[in-house]
Amino acid sequence: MKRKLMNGNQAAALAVKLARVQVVSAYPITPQTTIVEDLADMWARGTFPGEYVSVESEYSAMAYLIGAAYAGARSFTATSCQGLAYMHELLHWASGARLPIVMVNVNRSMGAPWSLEPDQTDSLSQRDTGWIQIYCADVQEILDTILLSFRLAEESRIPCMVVYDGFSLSHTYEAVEPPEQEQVDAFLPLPPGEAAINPSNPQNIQAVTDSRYLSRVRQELHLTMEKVPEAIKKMENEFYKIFGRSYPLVESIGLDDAETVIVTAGSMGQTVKSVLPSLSSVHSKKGFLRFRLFRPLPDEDIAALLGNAQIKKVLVIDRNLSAGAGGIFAQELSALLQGTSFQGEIFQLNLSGGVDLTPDLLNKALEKIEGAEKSRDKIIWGVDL
Amino acid sequence: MLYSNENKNFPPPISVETVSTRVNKTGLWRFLTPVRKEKISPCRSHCPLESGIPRWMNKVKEGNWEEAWQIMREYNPFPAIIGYVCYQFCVEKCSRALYDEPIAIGEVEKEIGLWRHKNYEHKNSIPEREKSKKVVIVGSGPAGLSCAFYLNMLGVSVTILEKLPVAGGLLATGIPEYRLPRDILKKELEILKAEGIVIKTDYEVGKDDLPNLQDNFDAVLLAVGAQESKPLRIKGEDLSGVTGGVEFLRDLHLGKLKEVEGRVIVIGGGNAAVDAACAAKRNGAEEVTLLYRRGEEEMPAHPHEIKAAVEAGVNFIFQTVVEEIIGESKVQKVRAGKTALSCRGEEINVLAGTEFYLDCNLIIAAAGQESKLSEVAPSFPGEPLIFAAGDAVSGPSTVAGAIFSGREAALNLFSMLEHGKESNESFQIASPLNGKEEIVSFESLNSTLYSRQKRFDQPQEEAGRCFNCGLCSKCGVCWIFCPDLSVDGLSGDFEFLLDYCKGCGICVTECPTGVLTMEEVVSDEA
Amino acid sequence: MFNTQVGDFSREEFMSSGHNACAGCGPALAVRFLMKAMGPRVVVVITASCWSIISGVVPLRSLETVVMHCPFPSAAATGSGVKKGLEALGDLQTQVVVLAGDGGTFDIGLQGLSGAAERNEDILFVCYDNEAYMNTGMQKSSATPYGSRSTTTPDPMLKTNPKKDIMKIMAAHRIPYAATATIAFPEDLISKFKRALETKGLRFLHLFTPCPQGWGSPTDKTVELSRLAVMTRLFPLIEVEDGEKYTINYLPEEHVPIEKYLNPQRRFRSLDQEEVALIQEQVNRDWEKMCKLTAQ
Repeated sequence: MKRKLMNGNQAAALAVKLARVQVVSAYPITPQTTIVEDLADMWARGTFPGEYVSVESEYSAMAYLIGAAYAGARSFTATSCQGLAYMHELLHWASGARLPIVMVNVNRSMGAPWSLEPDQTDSLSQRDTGWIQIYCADVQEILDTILLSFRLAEESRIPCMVVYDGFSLSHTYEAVEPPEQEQVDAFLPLPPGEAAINPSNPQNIQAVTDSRYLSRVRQELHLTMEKVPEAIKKMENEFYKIFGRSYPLVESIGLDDAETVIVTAGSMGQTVKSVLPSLSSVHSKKGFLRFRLFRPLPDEDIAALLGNAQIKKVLVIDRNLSAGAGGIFAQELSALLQGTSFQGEIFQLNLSGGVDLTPDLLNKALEKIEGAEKSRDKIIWGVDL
Repeated sequence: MLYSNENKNFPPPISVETVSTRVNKTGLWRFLTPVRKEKISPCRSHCPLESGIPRWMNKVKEGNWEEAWQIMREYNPFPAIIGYVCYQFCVEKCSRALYDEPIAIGEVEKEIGLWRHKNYEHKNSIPEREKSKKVVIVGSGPAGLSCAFYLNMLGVSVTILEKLPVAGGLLATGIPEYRLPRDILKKELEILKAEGIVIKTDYEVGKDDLPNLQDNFDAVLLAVGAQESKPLRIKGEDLSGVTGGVEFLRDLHLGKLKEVEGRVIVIGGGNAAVDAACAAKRNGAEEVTLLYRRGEEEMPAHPHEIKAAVEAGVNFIFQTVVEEIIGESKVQKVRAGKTALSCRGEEINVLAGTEFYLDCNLIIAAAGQESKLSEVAPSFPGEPLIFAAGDAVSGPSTVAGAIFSGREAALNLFSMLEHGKESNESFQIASPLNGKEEIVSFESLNSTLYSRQKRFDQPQEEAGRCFNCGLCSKCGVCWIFCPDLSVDGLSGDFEFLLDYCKGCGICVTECPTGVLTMEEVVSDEA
Repeated sequence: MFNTQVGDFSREEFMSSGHNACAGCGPALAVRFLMKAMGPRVVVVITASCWSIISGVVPLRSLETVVMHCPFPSAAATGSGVKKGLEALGDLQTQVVVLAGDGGTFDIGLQGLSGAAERNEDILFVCYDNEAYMNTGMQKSSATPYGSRSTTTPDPMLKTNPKKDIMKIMAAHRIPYAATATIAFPEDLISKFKRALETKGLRFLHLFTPCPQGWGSPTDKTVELSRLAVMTRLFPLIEVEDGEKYTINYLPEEHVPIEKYLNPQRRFRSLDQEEVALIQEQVNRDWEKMCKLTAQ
């Protein structure tokens, strides 16, 4: 198969085209803009046959898709930081209405002050909106995950957010194997052929409810979410058969005998993976774990990987911050390890604001935790090292 | 699909509702209920016939003349006559007068009458049936004719006895021809005869004839009118050249009097006096002067009549009484005096030193009429099976009043003769009002739904201007403006669907005819 | 001559009784007319407003069509999305009607509406204007008129700014069709709905719909107040085509003073004579301006 050099945003736009998306509505925001520019370009040249609408705000972009998805159309948008936050109430609406919308969020720091750096707090702030969230580590994964997301969203009727870092993935070129249209069509069913609504079948959709009814709606959402990890595994098997690639829910290396485990998400996983062999030569044996699926939380998979008595220390690298509580992945991890046979200590390296993870920085952080016994209440700030 | 339902008792994974809100009986919210209750229109309340004007107007508006006539005859069998002669008290009270211009009620009524004349066919009029009871009516004036019409419709055999050579009473011999063309009366009489009513003219009934009538008929109705002018009770009244108003007009109409000469003085202020003055002028009198004892404002004659008289050239002298008629065998002049200004019912005071004389050749005394009823039936009331109606009972009134009286008499006679028997269900006769009915006020109408529009010449268009006060005209405004869809628009009767009516009252406020009201209604369930 | 002829209206209803609107609700009546005009060819997108309730709470529905609810500011965009989605799926027939209150139009929904208008999305946007946030209990909106009491402009701090001129705003977008209508003139209202349905692109209808609860007017006066708003020239019945061609559809026969409209409403009860005179002057000025626009 021919490999092509493309950046994360180009890969995303290509995936949307291959997925035969029917309605795209979008609003530009750095570093996502080139996705919608690419789609607009394809649309203008007639190579993207779906509807493309350039709306006046991210809020309307998501509202537009809610409408299109009510009608039954396969729909997509992309955004970043402030734009995602501006959509916030609509994200709840989309999941409550079980609309299978797929959205790319390219991580960027939330203002103030203004910044373009790839902080993850924008998407992690949407943790409780009822969306599936998948964090990607490289350009190929972006393309493949978007294709998977449409199938996942449509089968679960839960909207899906594909997340990756601004610039370090969105604008970074990597060699990618672009799938053929026939392959995609074999994996992803063709989009709906007729409208989901019809005036001759009167319905009152998302009308005012009482608490018990609403609680059932929420319960249904949760119960479906719980089935998502297994569903992804099955889909990845099919994906592998067609494309020759697949991705685990949680990526891990060397956890069988590691004493220290480095946990992260997104493109930082690439950095950690590449320096892992050199890190292991110093002091203790190192392992690696990357959150890929974040919502639903694959807690059983992670517990199985880390619920291991020989692991003494875990360093969670968070390029995000819940001020007053610390890194968000670290919190999630410590909560899910409760009640497992994990007996180690959890340390945090916080890179919020989008601080770049260099091998040097990682080494310094590892040195800091090497001598420490308990450091649970202390965050190692990347900016201090 | 991943979202296959875990909770078996909870169908949708998302909120999609399909049950109609009709299960929600919002009528329980209501504390006042709209009620459709027909009320009396102001025109009807002032009509001597109590005619259901809005009802027949509504039919004319639809162009349904047949039904307009059928409604009309419940109140008035002679709309053509009334259309010509009635003074139309109704128009004075027409709600539309407060908006732009009153409806030309008489004109529309006349058109219904003329339609009836044109379209009359005996076979379509009343069902043939055996007539077991017989009634004789003495007098063929409007009261007698009206009673005859209704009794005949109710299946009673009717014979009318008229002492004059022509039938019609005052309609023939009192009302000037310019007010009632005689072919209209002729047509009405023709129709009555065709329907089986026997009219015998030149048949005077005296008190000795009564027992005979009582023997041969099941009942007798005396409708002899008030056809005798009251005496003036002044000196010189017996002189030649002094006559009564009714008598003068009767002689003119019967051709006994061909023309009038010289100066004429008419005494009186009622319609009969004005009619007589006009008739005298039209029939050749050189000069006609009407003397009325009170001021102009108090004159009981209808303003239309007075206007016609002024146009005909009649002189009016007010606040004047004739105290003596002077002449040798024939009148030559009268001695008159001026009176102090007074209201009707007050005593007349002649002012001292105001005496004056007027020359004249003919004096027409038209200061009131009286009935001969007591001469025909001295012991009435009290005699079995003898009834009376019209001016004979009430004193001089109006043609409409007489027709009403005849209608009432027919109802009473019928219930006496056929008590317990239902009247023909296809034929209704309006019962008299009891005076306690609610009369629709202008404020209770929603006149804003109409554009301002002056009268039309064309009767159907003109009937369309009628507000139909107090009547449900099936206009559907209640249905149109109901936010709760609690008026049934499909049935055509616009029934209230009280299961859903929240009692907002928009229908009542918007109703253009005032037929709706909000009322406290205790439901059966409560 | 009779302005409301029952024969002119379809007897068919596409709305059910039993809905939860308050007694004498103007918006309920307006949408009943809307559905009559539309028939079964439309889907309705409803934003947060009284109609969120009137359309039926779980498990009920009051409209004989598909109703989709959406968050408060999103009406125009969601409606446009539904239309685009239907088109993408090959349904070119079904029309989309967006139903928003004055809050969802004049205030929080204005950006989305402006965007949809600029894109000339193929939807009919219907604003039913009851001049405040009524579903939440009469809080001031930018459609609340000068001098009105509301729970957020309570006595003695009545609203001091005039109502936003939404028709001018919409006309400035050069949309193909914009019109005002009210429930006291159902023929006019229904004919405008029909006209709007026959037009392509973004169509905007501004419906004046009194709210007895909020306005403090008797429940039976809802239609009468709508009529008075037109008769007093406060709310002219107009059409604007392509943002340029203005037409006044109804010229009141006589000049009805504004007091006749203001007096039955408790929300205006604190106005003194001077303030009423100010309102009258404003109405007169606006009417003159409107007449000039139609003359052009």
